[in-house]
Amino acid sequence: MQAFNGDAALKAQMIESVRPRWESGALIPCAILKWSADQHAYSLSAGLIESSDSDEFEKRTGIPVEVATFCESLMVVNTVLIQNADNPMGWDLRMGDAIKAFGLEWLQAIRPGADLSDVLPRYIVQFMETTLSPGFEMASEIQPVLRDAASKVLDLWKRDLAGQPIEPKEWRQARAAAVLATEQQHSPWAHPLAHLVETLAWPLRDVSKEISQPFMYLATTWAEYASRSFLTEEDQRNQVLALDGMRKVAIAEREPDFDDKAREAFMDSIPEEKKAMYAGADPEVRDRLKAARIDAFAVTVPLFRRQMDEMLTLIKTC
Amino acid sequence: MSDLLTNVTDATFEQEVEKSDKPVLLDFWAPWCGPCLALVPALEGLAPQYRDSLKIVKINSDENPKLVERFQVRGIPQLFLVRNGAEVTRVKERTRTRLSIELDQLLD
Repeated sequence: MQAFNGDAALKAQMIESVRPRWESGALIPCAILKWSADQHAYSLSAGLIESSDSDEFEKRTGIPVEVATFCESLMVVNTVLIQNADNPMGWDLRMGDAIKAFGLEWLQAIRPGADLSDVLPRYIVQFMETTLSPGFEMASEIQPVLRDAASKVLDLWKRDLAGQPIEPKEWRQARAAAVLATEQQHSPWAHPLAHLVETLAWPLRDVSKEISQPFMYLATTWAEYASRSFLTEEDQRNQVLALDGMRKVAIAEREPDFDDKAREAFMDSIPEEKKAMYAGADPEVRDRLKAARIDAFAVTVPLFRRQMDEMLTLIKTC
Repeated sequence: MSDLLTNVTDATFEQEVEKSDKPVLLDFWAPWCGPCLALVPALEGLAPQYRDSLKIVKINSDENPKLVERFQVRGIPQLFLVRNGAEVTRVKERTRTRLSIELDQLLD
């Protein structure tokens, strides 16, 4: 796959076609290609081809769809939608200027003809190094069993991307350690990291299309952790309970017969967590949480802007 | 339907499964079933890894009532490991990583 099919004029034409709509807010960041007249929702990447068809996207842009949607996911974590009947779209989009700028920066950074297929595997290696560093905001939540499992997987990722041979047994041992870590890691804040390590304990090029989902879960939790001080005490308590509820549901979901009825019964068995998980459905609470997220941009925007800059560097080196 | 996963029916079960020289992982599914579709990438990811030791097939539960009855499928997705046409066990896990660990234990 060659970005913009190697054509600099095509790159310029595509970027210029989305620029005014992106700057006006007519296009939004979205974790999937979104081009829906019914929902009045149009995402930036889908705007390049005015369609949500993934095959069509890759054919016409030469950009792996998972790279495009991942770049948008980095912005989604720092975006808040505020309902506004006066806006023809039905909402106002709130995000920091440094976040919004990334929307066109990552497109501009792409060299026509570049092969972007290794961008996500290389990014996730850097990201894992960040999460395992002593300065990571959630470092104190990561138990040794998870840190060891994540380090094993990180080592295999690096060797694999460097082209070094890895015995199947080494991957099997790393996967077993990752599963054990998920079982034994009880901090609700670190569960998303355990989920990511377990899900991606494979050669990264084989699972590059599956990186986005566990990353988003972790990135969202990371942003929430970093912005806890912007919440009321009650909302902070609910936040921890809701995360723990999600962890418990994820464990229960592994049962083969866990259908909608079983889910309902399970939720009833954890009433405190259930109440916290649904707290955001109350309009008053929802508005309060959104306001806190916007206030917390002061903390979260610099964090995620660094991640965006790392992504830009990787894109430029392709 | 992925080329990595063979589509098996009531009519082709004998040839594709009972006469298979390798153990077979049966995946009962239906096109309207979200969790079934969510399982596909995991199975597609595992198929090349187990190419030499396991055959992975899909069975549309809406279109193959005899097999649904034979394996007493009451909900989908439902996975079974089969050797020589006879059920060895029901496979519990659903994610690529956990499925891989469970299959390694069953195939050892």
